[in-house]
Amino acid sequence: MLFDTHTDAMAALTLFRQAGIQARVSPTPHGTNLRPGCGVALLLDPADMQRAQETVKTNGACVAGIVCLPSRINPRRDQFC
Amino acid sequence: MADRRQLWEDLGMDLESHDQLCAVLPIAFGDVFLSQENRPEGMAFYDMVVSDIHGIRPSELVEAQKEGQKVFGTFCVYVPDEVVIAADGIVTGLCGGSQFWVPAGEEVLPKSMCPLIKASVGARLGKTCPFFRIADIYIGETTCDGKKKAWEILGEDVPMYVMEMPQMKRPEDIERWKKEISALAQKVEETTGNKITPEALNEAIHIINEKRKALLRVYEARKAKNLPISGMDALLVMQIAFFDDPVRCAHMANELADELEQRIKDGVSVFPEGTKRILVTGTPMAIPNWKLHHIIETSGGAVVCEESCTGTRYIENLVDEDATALDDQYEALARRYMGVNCACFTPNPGRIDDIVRLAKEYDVDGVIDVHLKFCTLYDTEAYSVQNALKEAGIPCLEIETDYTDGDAEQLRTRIEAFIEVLE
Repeated sequence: MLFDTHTDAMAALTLFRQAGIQARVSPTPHGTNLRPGCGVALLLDPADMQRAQETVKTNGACVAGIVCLPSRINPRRDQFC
Repeated sequence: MADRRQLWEDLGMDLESHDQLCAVLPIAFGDVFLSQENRPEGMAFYDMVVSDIHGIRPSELVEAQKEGQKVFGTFCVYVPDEVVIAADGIVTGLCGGSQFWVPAGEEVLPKSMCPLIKASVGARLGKTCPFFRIADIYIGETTCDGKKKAWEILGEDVPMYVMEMPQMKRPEDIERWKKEISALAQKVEETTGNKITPEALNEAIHIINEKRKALLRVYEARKAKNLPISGMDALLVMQIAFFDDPVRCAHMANELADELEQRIKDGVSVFPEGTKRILVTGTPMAIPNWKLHHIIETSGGAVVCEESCTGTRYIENLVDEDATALDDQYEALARRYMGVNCACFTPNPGRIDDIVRLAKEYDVDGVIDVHLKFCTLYDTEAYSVQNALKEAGIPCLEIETDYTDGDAEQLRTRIEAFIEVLE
């Protein structure tokens, strides 16, 4: 889930936590077609996405876009910045 | 990033090269941080800061500059933030922790220089880090030969002020550092146009002491048998402390410490029982250098403490807040900062004592003594460190590394073997 400001991202995180939806703060992945205004994204499980979208709508939270990406997390990759 | 690009363009950055750095961050961050289980909720703030590391804080600094404040870039824990803050200046740490910046540094520096210095120079000259572009003036110090020469090169591109660091810790050396602090105060006044008053300096000393206390609470939590936070996350907290607003830093660290203390009460641990407790000592790990901690913590170990400039050296010991005259305050600052034990001093028994003390306080199973390639000071001091640890019966592994990924597999093999043999 992408955002135009980091305050939007953290506000959405608070809403998700209150709703019991797991979300993690992450740098906005590169390679998406969307160009949000900030580098903070939230990672959510696709299974939670419908509930997350309902939470966003109900609370009027600001979201710049949603992209579906495969998980690329690999702690044994050993490639650093 | 739509509006961030304008910020970076206004700062004269090389956007094309910078994009390459931005492309690597999400992957490395995901592998290192998002692969962890059961992280404290309070880490969300730090994840946010890193996620937009070249956007959120740089924007704040630029806005502050528009209001007339000056930004001072620093490279060492001996440079007293208090003096800058007392003149309504802002301090931002500038040490480079990425291999991305090293080639640009090597264009003007020898390859046989430590990666931290090469990356720091490269970040400025390569125009790929906003913090290096924003700072109005850099404050260097003479803590090693490499830095001394690097300041001369950086000084051709950016206003540079250098503090002369004593190399011994005799009473006259503490007096010399006091004079250096007083001279820095004059430079800060000249740069900001603001007079440093005893009241303002006292308030600044209090602010930085509160920051130290908050970060020390996070460290205290790592002494628990059930570790409520990983070494990776604790390192990230420390790395961000170098460039965040100090009042916010203390607030967020205290909130995190509250959560960690509750986790200890609840018996929550981020590592399985029996995970070996490791003290890391040696050279600093500037952001985004997460390599060694990540390898240790994905090889059966847990880093419970860092005796380094991005660890206890940064936060242990407070400045006396009772002084009311500038001269006495400068002395209090000199005494606290000269109590930091860096390998640049000779002799340096304080650091050896610190390592053995911390190993006991944090109940470690072993110590990993790490130094960046070409850091002769820490490389040489490894001899004394290992002798002292041997005498104390604490296993120690010495590692030399840099910012490249090339030795990761070899390091993993060595660290896994070291952890396996720990009792």
